[in-house]
Amino acid sequence: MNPQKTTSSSRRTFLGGAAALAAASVIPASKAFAVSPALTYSDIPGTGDVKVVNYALALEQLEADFYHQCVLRLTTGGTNYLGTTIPGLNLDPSTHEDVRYMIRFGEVERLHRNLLTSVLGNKAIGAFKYQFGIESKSRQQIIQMAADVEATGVSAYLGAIPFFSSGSQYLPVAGAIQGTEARHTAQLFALLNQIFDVPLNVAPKPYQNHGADSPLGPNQVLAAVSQYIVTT
Amino acid sequence: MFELDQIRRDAPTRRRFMKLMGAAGIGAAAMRLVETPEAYAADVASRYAGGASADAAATVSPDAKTNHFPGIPGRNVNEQALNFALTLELLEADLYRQALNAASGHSNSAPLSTAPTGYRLKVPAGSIGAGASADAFDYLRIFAYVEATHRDFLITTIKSMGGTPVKANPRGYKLPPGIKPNLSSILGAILPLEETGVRAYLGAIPFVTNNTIAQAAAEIFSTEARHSAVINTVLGNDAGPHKMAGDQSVVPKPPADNALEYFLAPSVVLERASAFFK
Repeated sequence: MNPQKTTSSSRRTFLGGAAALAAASVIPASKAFAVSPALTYSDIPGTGDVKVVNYALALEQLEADFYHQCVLRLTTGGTNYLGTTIPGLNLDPSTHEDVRYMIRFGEVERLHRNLLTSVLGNKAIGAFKYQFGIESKSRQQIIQMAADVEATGVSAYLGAIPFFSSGSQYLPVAGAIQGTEARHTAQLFALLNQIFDVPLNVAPKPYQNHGADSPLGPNQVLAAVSQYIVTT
Repeated sequence: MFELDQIRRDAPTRRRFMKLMGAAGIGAAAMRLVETPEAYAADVASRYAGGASADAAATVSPDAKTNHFPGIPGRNVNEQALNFALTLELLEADLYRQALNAASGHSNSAPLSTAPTGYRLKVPAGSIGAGASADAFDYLRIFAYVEATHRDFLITTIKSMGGTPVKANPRGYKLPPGIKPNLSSILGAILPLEETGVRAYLGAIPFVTNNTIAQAAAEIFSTEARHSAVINTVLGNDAGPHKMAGDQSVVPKPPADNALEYFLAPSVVLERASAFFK
């Protein structure tokens, strides 16, 4: 479960499929470290429901490590799994509600990751290492990025539903995670509004997708997050 | 490995494992921003592709013991699930209308204004801090229109599938007694509706045999989770999820109280909803 555990050989195996694909890269040239071309759903190991749960697990691994790095940055600082030094902003959780929420949400994302890992057993996808550029982000940028990551998680779970077998036993579990990430999303946008006066945007407006959350397909989600996944 | 004992115990025995559309269908479904409920409902109906009448596996059981949506009409379990959702959205939309009227000094019977800008906060904030009362009122105002949109979407979707949407309770709906004329008391009365809505959708989705319908339901489900989170926090509660009376978990041993949404069986939801029926 520790991202450091992943061996480079398992990453290479996983990424072998990606390299074979002719998909155009969405990675900005400035992020030469990122996996390129972007991962696609065909790179996710397994078939059927296992593949869908592995896709969800890949996202939970990313979210868990993201929060880990964010909390380091917001508090005492530290080093991410790639060895990048993250200087701490030394914000005291006891006096900063947003930091308390970030710590708590990070714990929940680790629990999601661990739950899906235990569901899949030896079929679980290996973890990556991630570079989010957290070391240079401000408090506001971090909360904004967390809100975006959680919102992407909600849309990703929605976009994954058609890939499950009908009546899949995993669907309620995926839904239970999706709803939790929706709460996180809403709360983070509320904090952005309260602390930084960012416009209030906690939930879909009536004119957005009939007032409901919108799905994002796996290939769209993987294209968006591949820029944070490190290959070497 | 885990066993979904609770879900399995309730699961329909004749569930057919339909292979739905592959990746191609997903592209079209993504990023549906700024569209009419009618357009999306037609999209759901077209992707459902005649399954409503042809889907024998989804037929409502004549045995009351295995009817997962007791008293809810529909030609098959998917249509029943949508009508179950509509039963709740009719209730939520009307109680939001009443709550918004109460917070804005309008008459209880006033219909929802054509635009959210027609409302201004006219009651004290109650326990909500002065700095948060504008946001809290915004939640009430905007969510009222969102719930009305969910209601209209479900009506349109059921009709698009050739079904008959359930009607609102002819005698109407009533807010719980004892609400004080302040914003925190009014939002405190609305919160259980949202939290029950979250649990209702999660409890209904396992019975849906069509993933397009499940997806449409899940889109509303997580929106209600968002509403619940921020209403909780303006009232000084944790954003959740947190376990409430009667809640069931999707796994036998949840890793923490706040890591996974909870669900309620449809029959339990309907019983609770009936308390708001006049």
